[in-house]
Amino acid sequence: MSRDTKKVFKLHSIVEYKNLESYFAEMALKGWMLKEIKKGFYIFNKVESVALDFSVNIFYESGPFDFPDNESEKTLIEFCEDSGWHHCTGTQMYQVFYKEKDKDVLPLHTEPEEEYRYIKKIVMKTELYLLPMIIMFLWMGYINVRLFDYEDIFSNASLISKIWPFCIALLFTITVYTPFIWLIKNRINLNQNKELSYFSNRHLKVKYAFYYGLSGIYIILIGMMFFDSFSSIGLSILPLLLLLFLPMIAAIFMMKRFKRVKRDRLKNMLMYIIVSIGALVISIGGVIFLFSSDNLHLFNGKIKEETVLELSDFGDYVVKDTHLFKRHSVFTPVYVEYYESIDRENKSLNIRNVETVYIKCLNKKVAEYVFENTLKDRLKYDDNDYKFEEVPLSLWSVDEGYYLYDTKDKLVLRKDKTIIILDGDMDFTDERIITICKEKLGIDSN
Amino acid sequence: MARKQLKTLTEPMYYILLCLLKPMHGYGIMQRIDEMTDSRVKVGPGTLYALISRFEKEEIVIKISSENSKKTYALTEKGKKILNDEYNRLNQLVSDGAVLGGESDES
Repeated sequence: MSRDTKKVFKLHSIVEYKNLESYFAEMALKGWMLKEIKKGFYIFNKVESVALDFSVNIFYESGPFDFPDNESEKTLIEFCEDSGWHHCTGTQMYQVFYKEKDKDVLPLHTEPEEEYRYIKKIVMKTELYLLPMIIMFLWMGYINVRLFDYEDIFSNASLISKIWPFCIALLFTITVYTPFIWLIKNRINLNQNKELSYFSNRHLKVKYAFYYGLSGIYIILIGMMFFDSFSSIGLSILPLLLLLFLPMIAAIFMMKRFKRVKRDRLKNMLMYIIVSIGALVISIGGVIFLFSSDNLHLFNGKIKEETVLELSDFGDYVVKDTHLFKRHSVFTPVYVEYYESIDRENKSLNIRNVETVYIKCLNKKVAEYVFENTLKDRLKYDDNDYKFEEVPLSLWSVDEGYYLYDTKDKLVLRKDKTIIILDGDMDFTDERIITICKEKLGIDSN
Repeated sequence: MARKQLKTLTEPMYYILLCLLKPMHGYGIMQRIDEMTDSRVKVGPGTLYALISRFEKEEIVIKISSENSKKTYALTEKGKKILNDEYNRLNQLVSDGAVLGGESDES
């Protein structure tokens, strides 16, 4: 962008067009004359500072779902130019006109009722479709909350996947509240023979500061999700990730092509809704599934510095299979799951596999929550009346702990904010085994 | 539904239709209304455009030519009937109002 041109991204609802008028006038006074509006970007040209009045004329003849109606556009421009306004630029929904500050020219709109009717029509044809989408995202969020499982707190990606429908619903709500308040408020004004009223610049500044702030937070959250995953899985996933954005690119391309042919408005709208929702669901759903999928965090290979049990801790074993699974979240900064097994054919050895789940929680409360839910989870697959047997706490040097089965080959321990779940072909009541586990897992030193 | 909305005309609607008894272009309509009403009724270009396109959709006015790239509009038969109905309605209002004049004379 050269020094003589300025490009500004600005979101706005159709009912906020009066604020655009003052914004364009302010820019012209600063020496930036509006030249073009393209995909939400306002392009200004450097000029001498000039005092101008702008007028934005809502133009609903062709909305975003219609084939461009150039003939109607020309008629409007003709009427306005004949009255002394100069045409500046426009979009499919509104046209921008200007005049010299002191020039006495008839305002574009002299009938508030007609102006209201125009705006209402355009809101109903454009921003209204966000309402069913808000309901849809709230419903999706509700389903996500209903499906919440304690294991979701182990990874940021899972946590984000639970809340994202609410985030989108909130952004959409911020987008649509101004048009609907405007319509209600001004219907009352017109019924009382009052002039139309508009949102103040201050109100909209707060609205968009909140909107951009929230969007920023969501981008950071998505970044966290990416960072979490990349830190453990590496950049090899990048091509797959880019592939997931293909439906969105294809949707934009399809919409552009679709608009070149004149069709029924309802058909256009349906097509836009189906294509955009389809692309969004495939792309966002795919990305979330990808990053929250356990398989992505699974490694075949030897562990390095993890606090887990290995078969070699118990004797001379030749390991055949290993699985390392790592993830982390704001609630559980460390989560490691490690499994080792020997050749299953070899039945002469006592211990054939060992598995450790090591979770370092944010605080004791989170650890207690995880501990309690691990026990509850165990009951899901068994008789609810099952009585857990407590581990010898002093021997294990932990705050709480239970054997999960009568066979005493699986147990869960909590020491302060650390949770350890051990599973293997061994007797965890055996003092020699307990000593090895404590030493390896650093329970004494915790 | 659309017809119902136009059963009674607003002042700008009435004057636009009145002007279009003779074919006229957009700016001409605005000027004529200004002259006719001695600047009491003002119709801005945005409002004029909104009303003309509404009238066109409802086949009350028709675009008859594009002279010097300026579009000229005229009333259709339907438009003439609506204008006539409105004129009669207004006359009725005035004659009903005359009763009030008579009452005040008697007192």
